[in-house]
Amino acid sequence: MLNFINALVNISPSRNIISQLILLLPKDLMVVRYSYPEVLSEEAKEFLDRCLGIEFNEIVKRRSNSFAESLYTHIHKLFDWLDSDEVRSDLAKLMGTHIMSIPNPYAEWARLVLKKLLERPEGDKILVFIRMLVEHGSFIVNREGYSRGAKRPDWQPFLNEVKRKIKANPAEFEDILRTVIGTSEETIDEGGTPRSSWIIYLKHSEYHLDLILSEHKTTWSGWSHWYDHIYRVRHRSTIKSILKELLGG
Amino acid sequence: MRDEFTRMALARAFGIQFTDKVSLEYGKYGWHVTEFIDKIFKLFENEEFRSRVTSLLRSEYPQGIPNLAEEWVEVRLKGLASEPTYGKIAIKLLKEIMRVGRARLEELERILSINRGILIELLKLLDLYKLIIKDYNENYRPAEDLRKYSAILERLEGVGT
Repeated sequence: MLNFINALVNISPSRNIISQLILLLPKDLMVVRYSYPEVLSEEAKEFLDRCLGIEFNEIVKRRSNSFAESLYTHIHKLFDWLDSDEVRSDLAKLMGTHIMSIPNPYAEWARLVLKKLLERPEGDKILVFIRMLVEHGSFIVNREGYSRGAKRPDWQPFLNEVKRKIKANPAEFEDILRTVIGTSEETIDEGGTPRSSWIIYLKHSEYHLDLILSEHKTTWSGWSHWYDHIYRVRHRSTIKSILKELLGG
Repeated sequence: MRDEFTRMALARAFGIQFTDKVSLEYGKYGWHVTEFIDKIFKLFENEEFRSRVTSLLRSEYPQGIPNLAEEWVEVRLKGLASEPTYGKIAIKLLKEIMRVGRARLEELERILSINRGILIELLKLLDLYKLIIKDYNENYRPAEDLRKYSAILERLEGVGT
């Protein structure tokens, strides 16, 4: 069991530069050249391209169906798996060890990312936004078909409140949103019953803190239908405790 | 695995289901790990990968980077061969299935003159070690990775011959 856990920890991006590069792709070649100069020797490039499936063009990216793609998927599964207190507690019981000695690759990665973000000129603003996000927990982004008394969408009002609190101009706030929430989505579940259908996306943010699950659900009854778009914030307790370390309070 | 406490912890942590058959729950971490291990096997089967990594890590791996997929077949075959009651006869049965490519239960019973009850036990054992597959036509066939690395089975000298 210890070998198994060590193997997983060794491929997590906080401890392995190849995993880190694979996680953060696609990236502009110039950015890769600056951030990972060691991977741009001809020998290293050939290895990464031919054996792992990383394409080096103007944009460096993972080739589909490659090992790099599988590793990228697995890193996300590993993050979610070991960022669960229940799982780490069960592993501690199985290994006869203390829960604190079971690593949490997501927490390690998040600590690195949040420290890096804090070094940016707008770092304080980004971290305050993240703190407000994890404290809130879930948001109604949009809903349709409900009567007047129903709870109204609170995502946009929340964003307005954040914008006001951190005093970010619109362009700066757009950048912050891209960093924290992300632009790309991956379907992680979909399904339905005769009277409802749902689809759940994971939103991938710039450094893959991946804080948001985006759920769309439609329910029908007769001629009526109700639609909900909900954001659920993930990894809340881990992020909260790291923010406490970094920001205090 | 014998005690309830360990089974419960494994079930919760990995999504392992312990019923009359031990299996993995779809979408749980154990299931994802098996998918990832398949990809790792494919990577380590790639000769170019092994040769490039061997030249980089010669001091760490003086014997060269192993082909993990091949090694896994070998581990299972050796495990099977060392089963105290049925090990040797199970290897004999496996060699026969390899020789003919595919066979139904009745055919194996006739060819090997083994009691049906024992034959069923042996086939269960081969299935447990993932060395055979039962197809839709009730035929037993060698697992794909065993066919690829059949030389390991042939090398198991003095066992089942």
